[in-house]
Amino acid sequence: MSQQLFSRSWYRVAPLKPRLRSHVQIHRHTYRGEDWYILQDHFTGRHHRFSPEAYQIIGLMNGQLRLDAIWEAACARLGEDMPTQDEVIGLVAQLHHFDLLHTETKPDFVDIERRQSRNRQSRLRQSLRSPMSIVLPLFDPEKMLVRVMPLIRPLLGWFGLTLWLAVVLCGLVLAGIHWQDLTNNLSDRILSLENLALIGLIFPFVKVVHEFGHAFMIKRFGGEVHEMGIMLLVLFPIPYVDASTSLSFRNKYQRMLVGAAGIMVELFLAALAMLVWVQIEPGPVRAIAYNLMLIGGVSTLLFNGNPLIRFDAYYVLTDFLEIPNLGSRSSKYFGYLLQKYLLHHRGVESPATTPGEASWLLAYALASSVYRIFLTIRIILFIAGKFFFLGLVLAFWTAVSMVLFPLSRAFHFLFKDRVMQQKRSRVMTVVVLPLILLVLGLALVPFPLSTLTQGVVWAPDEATIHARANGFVEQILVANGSQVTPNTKILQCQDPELQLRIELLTAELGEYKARYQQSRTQDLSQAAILQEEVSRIQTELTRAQERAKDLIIRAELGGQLVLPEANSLQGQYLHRGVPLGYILTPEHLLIRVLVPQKDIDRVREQTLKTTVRLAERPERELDARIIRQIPAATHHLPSLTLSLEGGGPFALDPNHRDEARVFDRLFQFDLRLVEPLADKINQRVYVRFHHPAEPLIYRWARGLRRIVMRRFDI
Amino acid sequence: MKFSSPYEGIKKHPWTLPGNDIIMFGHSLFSHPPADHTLRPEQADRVETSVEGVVYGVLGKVQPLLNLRLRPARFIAQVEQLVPGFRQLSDGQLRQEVLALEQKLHQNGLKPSLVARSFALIRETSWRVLGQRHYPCQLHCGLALLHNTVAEMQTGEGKTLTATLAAATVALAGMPVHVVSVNDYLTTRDAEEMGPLYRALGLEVGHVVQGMTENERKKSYLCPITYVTNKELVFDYLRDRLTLGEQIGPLQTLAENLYRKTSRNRSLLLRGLHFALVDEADSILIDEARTPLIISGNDDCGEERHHLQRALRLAQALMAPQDYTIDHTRRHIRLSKQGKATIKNQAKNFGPLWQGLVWREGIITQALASLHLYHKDEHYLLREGKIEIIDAFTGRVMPDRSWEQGLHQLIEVKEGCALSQRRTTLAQISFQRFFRRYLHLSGMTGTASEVRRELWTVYGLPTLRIPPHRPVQRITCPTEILPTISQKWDAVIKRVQEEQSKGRPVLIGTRSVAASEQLKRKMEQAGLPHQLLNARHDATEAQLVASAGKKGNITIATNMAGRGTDIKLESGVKDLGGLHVILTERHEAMRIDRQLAGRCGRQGDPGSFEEIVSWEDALFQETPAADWINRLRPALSSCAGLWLLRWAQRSLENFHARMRTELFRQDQKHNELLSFSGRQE
Repeated sequence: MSQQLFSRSWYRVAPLKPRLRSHVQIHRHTYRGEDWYILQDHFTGRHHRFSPEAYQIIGLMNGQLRLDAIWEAACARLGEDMPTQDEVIGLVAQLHHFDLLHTETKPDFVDIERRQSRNRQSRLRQSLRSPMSIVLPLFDPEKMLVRVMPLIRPLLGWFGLTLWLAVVLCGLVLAGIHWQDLTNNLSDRILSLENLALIGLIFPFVKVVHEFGHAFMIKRFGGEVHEMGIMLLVLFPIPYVDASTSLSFRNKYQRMLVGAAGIMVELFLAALAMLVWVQIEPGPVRAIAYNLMLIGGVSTLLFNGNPLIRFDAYYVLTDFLEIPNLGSRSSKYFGYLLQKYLLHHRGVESPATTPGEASWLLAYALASSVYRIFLTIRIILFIAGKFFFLGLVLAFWTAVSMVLFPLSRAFHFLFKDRVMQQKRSRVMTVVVLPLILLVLGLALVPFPLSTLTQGVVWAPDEATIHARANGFVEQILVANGSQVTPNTKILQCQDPELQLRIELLTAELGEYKARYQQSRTQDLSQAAILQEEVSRIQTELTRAQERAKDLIIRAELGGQLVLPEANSLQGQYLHRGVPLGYILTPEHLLIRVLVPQKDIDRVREQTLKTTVRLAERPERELDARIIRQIPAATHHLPSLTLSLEGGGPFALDPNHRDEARVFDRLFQFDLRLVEPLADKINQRVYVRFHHPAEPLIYRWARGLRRIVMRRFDI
Repeated sequence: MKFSSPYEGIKKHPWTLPGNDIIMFGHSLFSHPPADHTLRPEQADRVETSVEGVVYGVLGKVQPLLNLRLRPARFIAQVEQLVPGFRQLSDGQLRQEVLALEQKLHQNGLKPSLVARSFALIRETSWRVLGQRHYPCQLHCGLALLHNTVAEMQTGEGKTLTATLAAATVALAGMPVHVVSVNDYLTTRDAEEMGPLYRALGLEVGHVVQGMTENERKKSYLCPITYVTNKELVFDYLRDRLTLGEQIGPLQTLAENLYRKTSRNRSLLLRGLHFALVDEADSILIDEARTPLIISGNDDCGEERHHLQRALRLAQALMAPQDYTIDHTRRHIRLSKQGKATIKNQAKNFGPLWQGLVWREGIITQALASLHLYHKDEHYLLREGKIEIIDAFTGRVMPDRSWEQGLHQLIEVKEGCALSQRRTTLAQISFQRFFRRYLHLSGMTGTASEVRRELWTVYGLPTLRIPPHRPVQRITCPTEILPTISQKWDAVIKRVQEEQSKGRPVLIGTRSVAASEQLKRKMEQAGLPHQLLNARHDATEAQLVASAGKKGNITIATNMAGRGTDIKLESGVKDLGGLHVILTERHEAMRIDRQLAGRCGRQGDPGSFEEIVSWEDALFQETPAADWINRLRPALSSCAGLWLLRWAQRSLENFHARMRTELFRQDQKHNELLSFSGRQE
């Protein structure tokens, strides 16, 4: 029996005659078609939501009736849903806890003191638990708001809305037109130092205006604002107003407007800034306008407009959906689902009470938890990267409060909760055993480990055929792809100029030889000069002839001839030194592989085996062995095939467009296949370095350490 | 924008620990509040914060160091040094010494040297008056008691005499002492036996048991030392609270005295909760801790008989397991969906009371419990047309107690008794909360080590094991586990015949009244003369216990014979091997078994103990693994059987311990919740 009608302690409360305090006001709200009662405590600014059943009891607390009379009356009225005595005690205790109740008993000062100190403690604990958002209340803006309100009120009506729509639409249209100008080289413009300083100056102004937007909207609908201050969000000060009074507004659109007012104000500012930005010449004013747009338009929509974090949009969303406390109730609902379906806990009650609520709660629970985890990691990394020591402490604390606390609470629940103790075997089989198996599996079961990278098929230098002289290709003497022996003629080139020159030189040589013969008898000194000339021409001629000989390109090695551009070669003019093709000898072919720095240690120390797959024949895995490794790191890619643009894994450095330079430090390895490779040069090769098998958890720990070290530049 | 979080729930404070001050040596009476009816000093109820909880947890781990701090060897030597000097004094001179010491204790508090002196004087006086002298281990124990400790002494080591050391010393120092014991028999016996010693020390002794008038009680409580039965003490405390009403503070009471002619103080009994010495501490502080003590008045709006009859009839028509399931270990009944639907259908025309869901299902669950969980002669007795509850731990009848929430009335209807009036609670407190209010608390028992942790977390009492004075001469025979209950009874009878023929007295312990009566029938069939001690015969208890040690006597007893009863052996029995104790069924906690075993082999006497149990015993059958045990039984060796026995008992012990801790926390939480009511009980 989970609930019993009668309570053992009833005798202690039965004779009390409770009455709500005079500073408590009750409002009736409708959420998803159901009535709820909101108790507004004007003294503390708190609001408490009660069900109609609870209201049946609260409504009878007039200081005249005894609590047992109240209970009996409520039971008679509620019939099937009659509350148990414990529920009534719980309700009264809750009211008392929040100082909403007055009974005729003498005040118990010990109790009052204890409650107060507990309140203080819980507030302190709250800020300790979430060091990323510390609240510092500063002052009560109510009086000022009342004074200023007459000036603002006209703006908060249909006129204001029309004006707002006009300006914002204008701004949007202009932004669309000038999109290119606005977004050109965005990151450089935003993150330059001067601009950051400027943003720092404008930001507080924008946010203060934003908060006043909320405040005036509350005043517009008759609420009061009694607290304004600064919130340290991720150590960054941001102003806030306490908008709790809006919770008492009956109309949900009024509540939504209060929530949305901040964003609306910022968008208005951004639109105004857009108008200014378009009009004026570059200068400080234009820069300010630009940044205003940035803060008011972009950052607002990203942060305040994101319903997954507890900012404005979240409250607007909850009001729109009429699901108060969406965040906490969604996580409760998630817990409920787990308990019900995973642990088969039958007694648990769903926090979703109205139709359609359940799916919203589930969707929000999933989306927000994923986003929260993502955000937490980002915040931790950001903070720890910025302020090293303090950051580490804060990051550690955040990690503890966001990971360890919930985990320990979950375990506490699983083992200490009474119902769970009865379901011990279920808990064990569904939660604990799988967890243990998982951990053991991760920590003990070795998984195959390998490093995967890419390389290219690489011909050694001596296998490359180069054009050895300038000239037009006249004839290809050997068919592409056929086997050649060393010294086989491959290509016949023609250099008409060279031919001419040889003829010229031959003729010249003849001439000079004749002249030499002639002058030998006449003028000895002349003869000596001519002699010189002849030998010069002779040398030149010899050189030209050699070059002419080089026009016939021969194979230096024996093997298969590969001329990649064989078809277009005929008649092409070749410059000296240009690679034309390869002579493939299977035993000469290499695979050139690049290994990123993060993997280099393991590849060097712990490689058991290396296998490769060629891009053209990925179905076959071939064994290879490392024949050469270059100890120094490089930034150069041997082939553009390996660049990101070429389909490879390495990103090119855009600052050096003229060469294949990359950001990462890479290490080069040359592999040779065990069985000879007869394949296309420069084709992509997927290389796998096999390492000893290792449990996953070590691998992850290493990965984490690497990230940390990279982030913090240790 | 920020919202103060709306709709906050109630903060929960899970961890709770007590905060007893430890009497420090040198604790002076100036720092101790005076004992009178206006001030009535006691410790405030408090719930420890989580930080305190952690600190307590750590401190709990280092409890064993306490003995080191006491330095018992040095202390005992100090006492023994003083004794020869006192021995030469005349009675008059001794009395002078006591007076001088009393004055010093008043001035300086419990300083080590004064305590040693006091112990030596008490020892000497005891020798002269009672003819008994405290052993060194009793001195050790007495010292521990002054340090807010539960001292674990072997059964039969003379706890009654030990208590005099601490009680008289504290009383000499001017603090009222309550020596709390489990039943009226023990209270009266101890007060009477030790009275001469206290009076020789100049200390008046009072005792409070059931049936005393208010004036007698008041007089007893005014004595420096009061022997009192646990329940009487708590009820007197509650009565005081009711007398005071809301006027709890001393200031209010004083102010009231100014304008009222008759002061309320006159009708108050207790002078505050100063120093309690709890005998059989595990029984009172742990086993009975859960029992709420309730002062009730009659309620005029009782339930009508035909509603209860309808509920019973409806419950009888329900079928397990499709309509409800019973969890025997947890004594817990759960209605299934189908069962709930059936009830709803059936109750359609029963009138408006039956339309409330909670009431309807509540009363049916209670009816099911009354049918399936509460059995005649095991949980209650039928005497003179009335239902009387049997306490599960002491086996005694609790005449004034009744079950709550209609259960009592349902059982009355089930048994065809006249319907008693439903009673309303006027004030209620549990032993846990009550004893936590003592400024100083200490205890003695024969069996505390199993509950060491609980004593620490709930009461802040460390446990100290006192080495026995004389080695225990008890022989423990091997345990027999038999397949069926009837085989068990046969084996028991056989053993009894064997022992009886030797002339040894035999004590047989059973778990329930019904079992004891079953055995009685078997005995009659076998023609064995015997006597029966169970809740039905509680009036003749003392007489039965006194004769249990006679030659060849057979006594069958429920566990009510377990505690404190000293079975004196007839002369000549010692040579035959002393008392033989047979345990026929293991209890919920091993401590209770050990208590029963402790009836033999006391104070160096010989004795033997054996267990004859059966696989059909409730202990096995009520564990969640009962099916498995039944299936595996043929394959189990006796060694595995013993192990299973211990395992089943231990899991039950753990379960009860968890329940108690949880109840304690819930109780604390609940009381905090109820702080608005302005009343604490």
